Amino acid sequence: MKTKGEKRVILDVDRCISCHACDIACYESHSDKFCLSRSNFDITVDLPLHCKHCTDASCVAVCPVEALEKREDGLVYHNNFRCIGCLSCTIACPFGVLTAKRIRHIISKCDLCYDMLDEGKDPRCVQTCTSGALSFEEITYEEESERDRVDARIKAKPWRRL
Amino acid sequence: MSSVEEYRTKCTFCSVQDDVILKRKSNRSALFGKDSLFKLYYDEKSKRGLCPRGNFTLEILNSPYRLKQAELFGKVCSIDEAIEGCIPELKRIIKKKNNIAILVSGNHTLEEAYLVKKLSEDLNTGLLGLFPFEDEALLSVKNEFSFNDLSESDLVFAVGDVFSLSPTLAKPILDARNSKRGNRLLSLDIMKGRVSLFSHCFTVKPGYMSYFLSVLLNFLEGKSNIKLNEGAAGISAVQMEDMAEALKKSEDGQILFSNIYGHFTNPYTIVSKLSRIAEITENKFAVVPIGQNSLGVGRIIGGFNNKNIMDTLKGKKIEGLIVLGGDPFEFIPNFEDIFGYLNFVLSTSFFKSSNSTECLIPSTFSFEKKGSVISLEEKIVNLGEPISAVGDAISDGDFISKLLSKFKGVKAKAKASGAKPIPFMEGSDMKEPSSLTNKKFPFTVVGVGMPYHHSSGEITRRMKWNEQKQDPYVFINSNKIKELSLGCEVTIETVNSSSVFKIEDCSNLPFDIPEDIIAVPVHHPQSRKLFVADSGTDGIISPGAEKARIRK
Repeated sequence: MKTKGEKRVILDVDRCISCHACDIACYESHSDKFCLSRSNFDITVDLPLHCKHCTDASCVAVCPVEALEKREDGLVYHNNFRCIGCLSCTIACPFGVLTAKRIRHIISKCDLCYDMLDEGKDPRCVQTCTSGALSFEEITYEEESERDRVDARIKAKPWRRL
Repeated sequence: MSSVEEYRTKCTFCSVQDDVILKRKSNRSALFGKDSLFKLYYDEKSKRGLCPRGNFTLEILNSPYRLKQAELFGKVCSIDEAIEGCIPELKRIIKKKNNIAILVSGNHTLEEAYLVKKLSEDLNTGLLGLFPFEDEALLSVKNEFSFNDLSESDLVFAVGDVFSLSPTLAKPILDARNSKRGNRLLSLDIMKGRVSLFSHCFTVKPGYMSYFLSVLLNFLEGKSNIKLNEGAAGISAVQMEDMAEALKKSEDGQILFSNIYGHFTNPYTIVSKLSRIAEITENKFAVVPIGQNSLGVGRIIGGFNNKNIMDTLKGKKIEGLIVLGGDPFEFIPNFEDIFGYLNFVLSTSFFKSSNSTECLIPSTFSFEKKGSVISLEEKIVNLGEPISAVGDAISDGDFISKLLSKFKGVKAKAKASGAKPIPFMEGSDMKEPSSLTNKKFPFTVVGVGMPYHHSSGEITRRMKWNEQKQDPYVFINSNKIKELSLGCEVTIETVNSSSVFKIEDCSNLPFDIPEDIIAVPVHHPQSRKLFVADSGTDGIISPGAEKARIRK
């Protein structure tokens, strides 16, 4: 369960106009690295995909050199200096957010612009979003409990597809 | 180390003019580091960031390819030397009336526009026109627009691809659509665009928009002068009635029109019909020009002269041309052919042109000059000069002022005041146009805004925003590519011209390209020359969709 106060980047797919402003904001501020992936599951949809900073992050578990770590504030942080570019995390990521597109031999990963968070501001992709599709919102207990309820239903009737 | 200072200004890259908080230091290079970019584009008050194009303003300001020194007959010189060198040429040319044309960009301030008007009087010419050409059609419109009203509208009716050309308008438009159940977002265009995905989308065949709007207006007025030819226009009467019903039903709707080179034929008729439709359905109407201050500049200089200018240029009837704020080789179609016979071309630009004009003056960009502009909300906005210009770059206002004082010996001063819309010319019902395509030319080529605003590196010029797509490229329906077995490159031919393009993968586009349409981003001069910059039936320059064919 996520602790109260943790925030995540939320994408409203009904608002994204695929203008790529978030990509540019991310690219320019992360030393010319693309840390956002793009969806490619439908030709008419071109959406930014963010790291979900999972509670039990499988990328952290598989990293052989502990380059990925889960911080106290919930952020899954990628240490560029430790990363050896083995790409285990890209296989482990259940959302396909960490891609095998390597730049400088290491993976690129969303760090939620923690320097901005320290200043009390939202991540850059959220700030630059032209259509208001991206927001930086707190994960609440209500949402968690709803998710738990869904999980419980899946466990009770595993043959049902939701 | 100098302290950082906050400067509140406007992004003047397009007519939307979003708020910008600029954090500046006295040292210019220290200001425009990579990360400082993100401290300046986001406005806490409006909760909006800049679009990708707005972000790249800083890249353009910092570009190493910026023009820093004046050039006279191919030799580098000071601004004063360039002016001294120009004067004998200008004096010789202006002995004959209307022997020189002046084209001024919509990115100038109101003060600069007044000085340009004065310059044209002193140079004994009435050939004074505005570019981008597509903005000329909009000068008769008084915008009824405000960001707050837009986000509370119960109907937004977008004609043209507003989201592609002005991405930051997406937020208030989507806010309006989502704020209440029953609110609607309708879009009307000649092909699906970025806004289509979010709207109830209607499409009309290229070339038929002004005709369709005439029929719609007739229907709304309860007349039956002209009947809709559904097959030819590509839209049904039921769809038109649905559109009319939505427009009539709305209490505080907003009609928005957005055009780009090579997209709409007869844009002036479209604007006048939309304006009338807004009036009788009691909705608001606003146009979104391409140039940041096209409305202001065009209204001050008088507008509607581009037809004469293009006719005289093509007819080789003038000797001189002054282009203020742009590269004529980029925006005047087939300028290479015209350039040869002109005796004197003076241009002020941010970048060095691909071909040298007789006199080239380094111009200042947004943030590097003072002045006032007219906003999309029709308010006069005063802009300061937060940073100093690069090299010898001089604002066009200062340059004209210097030129006039040397030319006439009198110091010219700019006055700052608003500019009223130019009265509408008489409009008539559009008759049904003949089909754009035929057996020889089975396709229609349509100009679109750049579908990506994406770069992976340095941005130098507009056409190189997307580093991977520097060459002119074209979008063709993927089924058609297979059917015609097209390779990587094709030649697109129109009646006017032909150009070679790389075929771009349509699967990355947020919309589909119809089988009979070829879409070209019109930021490349090679794309622009496909369209005839000639007057349509509405009497002004209107480069619209053209019939075309593909050669392997």
